[in-house]
Amino acid sequence: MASDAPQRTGERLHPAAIGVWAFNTLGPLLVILIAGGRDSPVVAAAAGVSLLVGVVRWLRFRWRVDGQALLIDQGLLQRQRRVIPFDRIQAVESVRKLRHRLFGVVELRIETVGGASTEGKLEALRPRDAEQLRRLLLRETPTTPPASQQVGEPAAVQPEQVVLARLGLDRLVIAGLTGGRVGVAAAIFGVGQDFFGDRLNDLLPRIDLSGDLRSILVLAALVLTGAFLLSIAATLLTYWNFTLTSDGVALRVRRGLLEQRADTIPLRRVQALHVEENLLRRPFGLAAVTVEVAGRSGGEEAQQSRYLLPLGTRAQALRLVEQVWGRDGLADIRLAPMPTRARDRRMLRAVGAVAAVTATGVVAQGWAGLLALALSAPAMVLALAAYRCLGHGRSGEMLVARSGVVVRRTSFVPRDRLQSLALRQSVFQRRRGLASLALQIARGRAARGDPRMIDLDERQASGLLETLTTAR
Amino acid sequence: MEDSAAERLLPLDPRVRWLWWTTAVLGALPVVVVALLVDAFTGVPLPAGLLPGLVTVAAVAIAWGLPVLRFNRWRYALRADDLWLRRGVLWTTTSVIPYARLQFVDTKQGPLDRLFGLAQLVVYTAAVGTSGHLPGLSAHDAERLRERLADVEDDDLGI
Repeated sequence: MASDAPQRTGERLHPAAIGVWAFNTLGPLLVILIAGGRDSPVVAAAAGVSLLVGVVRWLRFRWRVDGQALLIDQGLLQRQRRVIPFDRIQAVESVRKLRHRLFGVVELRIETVGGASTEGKLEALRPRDAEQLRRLLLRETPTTPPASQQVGEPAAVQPEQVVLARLGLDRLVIAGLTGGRVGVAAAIFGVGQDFFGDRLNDLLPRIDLSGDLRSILVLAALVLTGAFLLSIAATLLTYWNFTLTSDGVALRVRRGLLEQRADTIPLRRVQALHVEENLLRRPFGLAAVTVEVAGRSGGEEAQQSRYLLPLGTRAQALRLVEQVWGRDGLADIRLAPMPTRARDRRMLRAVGAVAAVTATGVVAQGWAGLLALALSAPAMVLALAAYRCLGHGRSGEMLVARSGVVVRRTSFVPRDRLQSLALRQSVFQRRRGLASLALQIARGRAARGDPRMIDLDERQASGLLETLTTAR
Repeated sequence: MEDSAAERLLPLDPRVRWLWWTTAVLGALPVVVVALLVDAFTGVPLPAGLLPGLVTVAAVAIAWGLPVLRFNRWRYALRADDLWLRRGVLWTTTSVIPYARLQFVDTKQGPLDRLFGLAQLVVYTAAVGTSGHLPGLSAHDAERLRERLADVEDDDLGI
């Protein structure tokens, strides 16, 4: 039935690959053998299995160059054929680790844009073959490595650095007070409450309330103040002397008190900019600007260096977005609201949530559970606010999507940075004729997710899906 | 160009239902077994056999019905400039992936795929993760598609 599977042709790796693979598993085994010494039959069996796996893997592994692409076939049960066109190859790296040297072979790693892992791996080649293949793969690349990799190439003319943003002490303190770190503060406060809360319930009925309540309030105030101070201190440490400059080719971020950091972000790797306004900052007209860079790995480091402006006024933030994208008039884009059906959907959701909480409360606590109905008002307000935060807009080649009630995020994505588009529709959305459009970009892994136009009118969404990626 | 023909929305290979039914049965079996065990060894306040019976009926309905719905929803099209995919029963996702953005393409065949003569096609762009995944193509179609996608024009992005 499955006879029409692709036939396997092409070259095998150097047989030393078996040794190279086995080396990885055998290393720990040897340690066990030397240290333990007793379970040698087990170790021998494991070694045998790992060798056998290596042999099968080697037998099933084929690679070849087919026209303008590299083909790699592998796998016994789960068979895979990967095709990497030459013009997508960003780098070819030859690696010689100890295990390769032992067998006199070279590993070739083929990297393309995006993705954290190496896209193509030829783990054992004769050095001569590896060199030949490396030349073949790179020579066929029409353009030499993109400018992004050789920023500031000729050191002869030092381009002028324009300061785009700078943060003073006052701003940093406010940033610490209102920033995401307050989340940490709230968490600490929450832990304190958890910790003392149970005791509180035990104690409250028995003890004379007046004195105890006061000490609790004092304690809470202390914890909260401490958390805020910590947050301010951390912000000062991380963003001390924050300066963002640009020379037209790359952005440079300098920051840090104890450990001074300097990041360079080539402008052509910038995929999207976000203006982020959290609940605390919105009433004061304050915002932060973050950047989405292609091929940046995740982690806390990336989390910190994604800020182009840790805190500024809304106008400053929008001006910065205009400067980085080199387009005027972005601040004036009027965002269109989503259809009112989107608001109804959120209201219904709020009512449902309150109803569920109330029902649980009544079951658990009797009629006192009805008190949960008091949540209706804030829930409705939140739902309405969430709806008001939604918006979408477009100005020429720039797409704007806004969403989020706790942290309102306005994303600016130029059309030529779109990788693909995805229109998603749940059963509930379908009933109301709504759909969400994800603007899929080459972003880092740590990001909050692709910018989305949430709850667009269905027809408008399909229209955008059809027109946004078509060639200009 | 064969545009007018290529822009038709194509269903997956019908054999993919057999693959999904097989995996669904494999997934449902443990649930039914657990229901039987619970019925046999614990004091469920239900008539004997009722619980496993209901569970089995539900499992069969889902295991049979979901692949049918999924198959009916699944459509793809190789259009002039992009790959168009629609999938999902409760959450429907329609993706448009321009050929100019493709980085590389995989074809995959698991043991079950081979049993039913099928193959999967996975396309990657520079966006995070998998951009497009076409399960349940005939092995021949998958190979043909892969070759066509490998021939796409140069990228205009160059990140």
